[in-house]
Amino acid sequence: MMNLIQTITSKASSFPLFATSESRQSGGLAEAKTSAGITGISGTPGKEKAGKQLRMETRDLTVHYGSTVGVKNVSLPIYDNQVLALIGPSGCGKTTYLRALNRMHDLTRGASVTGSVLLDGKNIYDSEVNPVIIRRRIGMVFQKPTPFPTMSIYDNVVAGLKLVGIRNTSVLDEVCERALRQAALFEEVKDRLKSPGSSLSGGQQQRLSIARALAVDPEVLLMDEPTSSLDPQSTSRIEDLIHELKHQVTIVIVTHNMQQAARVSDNTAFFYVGDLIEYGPTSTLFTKPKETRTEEYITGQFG
Amino acid sequence: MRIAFQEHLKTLNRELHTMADMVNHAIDRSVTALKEGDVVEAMKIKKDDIHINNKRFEIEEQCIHLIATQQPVATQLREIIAILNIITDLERMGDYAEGVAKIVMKLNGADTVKPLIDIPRMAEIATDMINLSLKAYAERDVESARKITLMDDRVDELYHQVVRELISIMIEDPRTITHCTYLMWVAHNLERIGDRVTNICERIIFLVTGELVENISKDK
Repeated sequence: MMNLIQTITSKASSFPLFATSESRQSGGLAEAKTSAGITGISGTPGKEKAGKQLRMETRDLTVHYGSTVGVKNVSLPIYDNQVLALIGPSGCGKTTYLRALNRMHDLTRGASVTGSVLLDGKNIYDSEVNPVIIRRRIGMVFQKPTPFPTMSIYDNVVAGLKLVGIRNTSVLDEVCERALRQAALFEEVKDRLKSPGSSLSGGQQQRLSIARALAVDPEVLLMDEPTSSLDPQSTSRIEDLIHELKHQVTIVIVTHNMQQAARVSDNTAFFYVGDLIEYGPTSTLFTKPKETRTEEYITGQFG
Repeated sequence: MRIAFQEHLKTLNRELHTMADMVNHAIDRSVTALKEGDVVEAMKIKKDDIHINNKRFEIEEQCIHLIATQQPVATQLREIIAILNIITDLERMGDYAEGVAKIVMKLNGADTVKPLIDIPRMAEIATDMINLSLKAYAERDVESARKITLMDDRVDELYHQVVRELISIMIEDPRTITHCTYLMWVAHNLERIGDRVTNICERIIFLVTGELVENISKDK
């Protein structure tokens, strides 16, 4: 495993944002001190859980689509090894915010992003930063499972590694098994790794998508309604998986299902018409929200 | 939105008030039976406690049903949790009234060793406290909830007064010990009712503010 990290690190060494674990840690510590200073939203995340380390943070993040504002001045901490849930009615900006976290808007015509998104204290929107590296450090899982249709299960998982030129079969085998195990899929597919990814069930395909995202050893995993197209059983497997994975990666999840947000996340942010209305520990937000709009939304009075 | 859920909550609150009325009635009846040495009425009160117990389980089942099917959050969740706690307190108050009735049965119509003034006064304050607490609950009135807990201090004072008085009667005439001990149990039961009402008041504060507090009158 270390060999793999060294391989990727050496390949990425020309990119300043590919931090070593040491520099990640120091960046996190330095930034944790600043988190208490986030203003303009309810809750005092920095104070409530002292000792948590910041992995990411957005400061005054605004996303425009042409003249339309998708997200307005959102400042949020994203803590290491914790799950942050983004909730809110359709069109509230939660997915727009999520996509800004790994520069997905770079690919959207007319989209512009202002403010900053810090990963280990460094702005991922700085001009010298390579978005491809960012997306490897910050993986994404989409609403619908996205296996590459012509590829086998195996090739799907290791696609990201092959893309950076890793060809060593034993390394690829090892990563494939590790990622599939992390995604709780290995036992179900170990005898048919060469079958097409598209031959799997919906729930398995989604876990395959997660395995592919995990194969490149990301530090942060963004999940955009990862269970909205899945049945309850597959949903509960993905939720169990989120509980397991958060020990290894930091997770940000967008979900329409508030019970899911309540079940899987440590912190929750409620968005409404592009504004961050309230942020805080999930247990507090779902038992005694500070803002009336949060209360109204989570109790189903609007949205 | 969630109209059915809101309707369920309203029904639940109506049931809660019905249960509180049942408990109040039981306390009134038990103290009246004590004053009048009415053993037959005491036996009825003892028997009727089952209705209070059943009402508690009915409400509890409805709460469980709502939690399981509606996944309440925020104020709605706190309301259901508050109701679950309040019915437990009310049910115990019903048991205290039943306890008084049992003592009436033990006294078996014997004349009381002293005029019953403070004990009925305790019962009066306790039932007032129950009524006021349910009103504060319905109105989500934290300030009233805090004030009600101060009334418990008066119940405690009366309790200590009754105990002191009964002890001096026992010292004067040890033949009254059994009788006096029974009356002490009555006073103790009524004193506990006051304590249970302060629990309800704490739940009102939890419902409104989300804060779990204890001894709110002493905090003031």
